[in-house]
Amino acid sequence: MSHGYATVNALTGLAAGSFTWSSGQTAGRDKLNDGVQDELALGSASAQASGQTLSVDLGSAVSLVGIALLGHNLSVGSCTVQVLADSVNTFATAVTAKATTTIPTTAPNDRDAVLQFPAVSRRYWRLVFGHSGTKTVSFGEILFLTTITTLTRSRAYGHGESERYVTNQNESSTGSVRATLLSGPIRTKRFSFRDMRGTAERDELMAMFRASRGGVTPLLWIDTIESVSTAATAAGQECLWSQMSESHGWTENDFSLYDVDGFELRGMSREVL
Amino acid sequence: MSFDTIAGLPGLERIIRCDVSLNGFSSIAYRYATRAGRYDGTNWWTRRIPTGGLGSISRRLGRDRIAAASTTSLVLENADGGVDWICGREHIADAAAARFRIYIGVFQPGPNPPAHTDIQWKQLGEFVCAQWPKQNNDAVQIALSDDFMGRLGSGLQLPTIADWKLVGNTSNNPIYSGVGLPSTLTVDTPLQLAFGEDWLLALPHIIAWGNSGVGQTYEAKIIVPICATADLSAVSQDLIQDVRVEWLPPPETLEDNQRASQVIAIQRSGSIQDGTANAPTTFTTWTVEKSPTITKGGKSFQIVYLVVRADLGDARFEPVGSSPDAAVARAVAGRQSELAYQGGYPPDAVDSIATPSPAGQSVTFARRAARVLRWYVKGRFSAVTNPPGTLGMEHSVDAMVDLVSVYSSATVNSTEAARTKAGAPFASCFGVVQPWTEKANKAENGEPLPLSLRQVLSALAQSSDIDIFQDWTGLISFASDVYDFTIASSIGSMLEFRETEVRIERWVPSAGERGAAFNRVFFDGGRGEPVLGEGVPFQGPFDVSASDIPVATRVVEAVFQQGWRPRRQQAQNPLTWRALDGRTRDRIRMRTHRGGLRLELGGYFKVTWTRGSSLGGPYSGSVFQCDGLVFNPADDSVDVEALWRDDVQTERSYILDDETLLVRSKGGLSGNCTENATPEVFDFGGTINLTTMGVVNGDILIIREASEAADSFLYNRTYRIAQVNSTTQIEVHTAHTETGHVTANAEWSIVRGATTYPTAISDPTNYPSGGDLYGKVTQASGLYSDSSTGNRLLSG
Repeated sequence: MSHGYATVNALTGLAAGSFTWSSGQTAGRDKLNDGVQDELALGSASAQASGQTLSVDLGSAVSLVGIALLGHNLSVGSCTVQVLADSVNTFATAVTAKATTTIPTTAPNDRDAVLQFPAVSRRYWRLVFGHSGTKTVSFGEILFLTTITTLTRSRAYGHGESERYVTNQNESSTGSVRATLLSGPIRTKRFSFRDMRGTAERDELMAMFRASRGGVTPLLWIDTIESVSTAATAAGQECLWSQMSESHGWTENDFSLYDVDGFELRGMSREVL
Repeated sequence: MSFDTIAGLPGLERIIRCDVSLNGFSSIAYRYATRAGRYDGTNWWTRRIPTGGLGSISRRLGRDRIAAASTTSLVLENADGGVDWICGREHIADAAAARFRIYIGVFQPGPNPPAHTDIQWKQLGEFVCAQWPKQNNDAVQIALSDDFMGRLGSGLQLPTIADWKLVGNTSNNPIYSGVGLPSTLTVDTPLQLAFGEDWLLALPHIIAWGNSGVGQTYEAKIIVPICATADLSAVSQDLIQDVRVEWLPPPETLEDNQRASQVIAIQRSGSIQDGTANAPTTFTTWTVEKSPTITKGGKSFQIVYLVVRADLGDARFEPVGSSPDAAVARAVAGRQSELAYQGGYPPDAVDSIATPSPAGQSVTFARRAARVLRWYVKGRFSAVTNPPGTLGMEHSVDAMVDLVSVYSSATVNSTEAARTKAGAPFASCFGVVQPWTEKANKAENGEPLPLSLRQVLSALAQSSDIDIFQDWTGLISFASDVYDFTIASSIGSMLEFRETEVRIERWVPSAGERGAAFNRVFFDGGRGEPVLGEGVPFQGPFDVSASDIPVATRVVEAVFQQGWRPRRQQAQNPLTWRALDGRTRDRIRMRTHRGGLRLELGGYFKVTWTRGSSLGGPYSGSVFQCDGLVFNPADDSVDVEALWRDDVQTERSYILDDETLLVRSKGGLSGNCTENATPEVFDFGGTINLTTMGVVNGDILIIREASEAADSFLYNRTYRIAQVNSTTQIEVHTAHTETGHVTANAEWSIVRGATTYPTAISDPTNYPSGGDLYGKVTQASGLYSDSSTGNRLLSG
């Protein structure tokens, strides 16, 4: 199992008019690529039948290797997603970049999904959503990934994950505590990479840190590299749009054996209404 | 469901949001929140309030009833420049106009994001920039305050003499075409506002005359500007009851500063007798008039002024060449020294020296009233809300409502204004509000005039024993210590905080603190009355005999302001009129959860603090009045300060009995009530069973026939029951003699009488042991037991 990450989103800076919902919805299209998951983009003003689409005009052909759907509501209603790409906006000659994939429904992977596929270069891209009954699909953010960097080594044992709620608490004279929920859960992944021989693998992780610019640039962590055009597995969709810490380093514990500092990837806020 | 319904519950999720308007919330220009959301279902509130971005919101009733401002601070994320609109000199106009409404929203968290309708919101105030915003690389910091540092924090914008002149040459604008201005008065001097009924110092007079030129001096008028008013109704001569002038009498051989001034009344009209058989001729000395409407600062005003005869009513000094009333002219032509002069003005007050001048008689007129130092008038002029129909007391709350909502731009909580007014009937006021600072122009010996409306309102509130503050929703509201019906009737349902919800401390407030204990009072700010030649009334000390601290043990003094009290109240024992409370009261400070936001300043609630079962505590469902609230968004806690007022539970002032408990029977019964042929006996038909109903001797039969005329009382009256003859028949003490009349079953009832009231013994369910019953339906003497006029109900 290989891990990977991505930091470049081809949708960044794209005008709202480049997005077309099959429902005709125009409101909130700018929320698809505004850089935060706070505000939801709704696929329609009212619930639609299965088969609704989101088409994107990238302006020119762009080679993509994955699409991340963040803060989505596709975990309810037996939802599937198919990715099409074409050189014309009619999608008359579309290729299937990613076959119809069922979206995981189990927490904590029920809100974010990444669809990886071999590189396809097209100007027009389309997401086709299948579901039971009618549904208004919504997304906090969508990422079109031009590059997924794969890490050579797998993480070492000792990795893990935690979730956190942000709360306020008041304690009375009797010790009774009254808490208020402010947000959450906020997901955090912990990693360690140990005993890496030579500097090449060490430098891969340091490059990832630099790509994140100390947490300034959000980083999409992809837990399992699965670059295939067929339907994705649940594991292959696991991802976390996250931030690294401000500092990172490494230690040579023995001759040519390097340990990179354990690090955390803290999930981006996706508290949306 | 509402915020108050769920705010005290555990396990809630919360959001803070801020709406920003640049036009007084005609529309919302910017929407910010701690979490993004479409909170109205349409518009997005963006996540710009970071953790800790909203400071504590502090609200409290001011010490000594000073109008205290609510304050907080707000940090908005601005890494993308999205909040640049309020930063820097180039945006100062928007920063000045910006008004912020801050809300807290709570909801039950669930697996899915809530619908916007699931969120229950509470407004935490309406604010303006207390300081201009500070900007750094990635954030904007804004210090916020409510309207007591906003709309009410500065002086009023009132019309000036110049504004008056500029409204055009209309028939009722005597200063349009020509005006002579005393050197002490600049044309841009704003007018004052006047409330209440006491003597008021008018502005210096203006000599005005028509455009017709020199020699037409009979058109000259003495114009005495009094004040501005937003009451644009037609002027009434009853607006002024009395006019007096302070003038400098002769001899001319002395310098002005060596002569003592005198105050003399000028009657509204006088009469003159020319020594002939002709009837006395009456003439008007002064009239009260209003200027044309003047628009300033988006508001409409009129100026109230006096027009006084150029000779101040002294008929003997009608100028040569003028055209006075014919009868007056005859008098002037007659034997002046024998004129029967009534009313008017002592002739010496008019500067009668005709100064030779090429300009002619106008110079003479310009010197008319030159000896007058000050003009005093008596009336209430600027009142708009509930102005007295004739000269009378003006309530302080009405004056404050006018100042806040009519003469300024804030909005009043009319419900609380009416309630506070009703609870403090003696809180009347007198005073002027001037947009300038010269205290010499005020008819009182007091402190320098306040500058800001907030200070004016503070002085007014202090004198009136009323608190003024801005409530959660941004309305200007009022509170008093008065134990009124609303409080009395809500004791059973008051919000209660138990010790599982609070951390608490208590103390008796000392001098300087709000609610401090005292047993001796002094008053400050009392007014002398130069018009009447009277000094400042006795201002204390007055000992409070009922104080919990015996004077003999220790004298604890307190000073209260009374500058805005009417002089008649100042001149009497102030304790007669003031709502001063000498009782020693605990003060508590407690920290509780977000449920504390359900409280409002001035509101009442209960506290239980037992300190455990063995030690015992001071409060078990004790009533307190909230006078301080601080919401801390950092941990969602609410700090509450409050004053012990549990005596509202033991010293009842109102009839709080449930009248339905007095009713034996009422409507819906199948029996009609028929007057028997036998005097004083009533029969009831149908299935009536008076015994089952519990009717006994001493109960009251009430007959209310809707069809009976208002001036007839045969079937709109009560009878005291003397005897229950059977299950369907009663005998009353006195009945009228008409027999056989049938009253429908819906129009009669029987209630308990004075001797048959429920008690803890007869009705232990509703009247627990030791319980009191207040009020009586009638008296044991049988006051309503006969048909004499005085005993009739309704119109009788």
